[in-house]
Amino acid sequence: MGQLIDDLLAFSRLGRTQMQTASIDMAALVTSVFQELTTPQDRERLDFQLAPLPSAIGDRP
Amino acid sequence: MWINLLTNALKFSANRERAVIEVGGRQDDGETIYSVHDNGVGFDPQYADKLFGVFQRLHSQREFEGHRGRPGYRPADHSPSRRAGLGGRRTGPRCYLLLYSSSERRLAMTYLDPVDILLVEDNPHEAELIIRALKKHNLANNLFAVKDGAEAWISSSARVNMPNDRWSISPRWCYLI
Repeated sequence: MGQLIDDLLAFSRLGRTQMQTASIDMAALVTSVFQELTTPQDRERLDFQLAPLPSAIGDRP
Repeated sequence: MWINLLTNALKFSANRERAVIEVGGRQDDGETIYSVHDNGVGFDPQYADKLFGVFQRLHSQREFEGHRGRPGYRPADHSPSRRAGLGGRRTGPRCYLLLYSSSERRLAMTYLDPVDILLVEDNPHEAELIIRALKKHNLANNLFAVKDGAEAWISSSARVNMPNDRWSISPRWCYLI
């Protein structure tokens, strides 16, 4: 419930912010998300293959 | 979006001795398509239509605890890897706000356009809270609230134009748990 409220607050702030479109390096984004989601132990048993990804246009925080 | 897809890939391949997760992407005819493959629990291709529809969960929770044997269930070794991408191919109540778009312009626009929101929440108090919050920020215009996955299926089927009775995921549909 606390998490839900935090997320909704973050969401409402997003709605008020002007969008800043920019090119997003998806490979870097995926790599950072993967690092964030896994521990070094996890990564020992994971074969993570990241192909070159096209960039995307998105809102940069 | 990536957190969601990678979390799923990690979760569904967690029971593999060596999990393989492949992330790829391509640009094809104006569309940018990103994909996430894993060697985790697979699905029977005969249910592909359902998988590509709204969240019908083909795997019981038990299967992820190591108890297989659901009737009709085919282990991953005999079926293509589960694949997320192209509008979201995972089952389960997930938010797939945007996985592909017809152009880069559209990719940016999708965040600005009003989205249809299907709220799936079985606790009426929490549902009420979420609806209030969304209304407060003028996001509740296209809000459909249901209690569970079965209702969500019926609701989506009823509200969305379904060519050939097949529900296609629009990138503008957002599902909230």
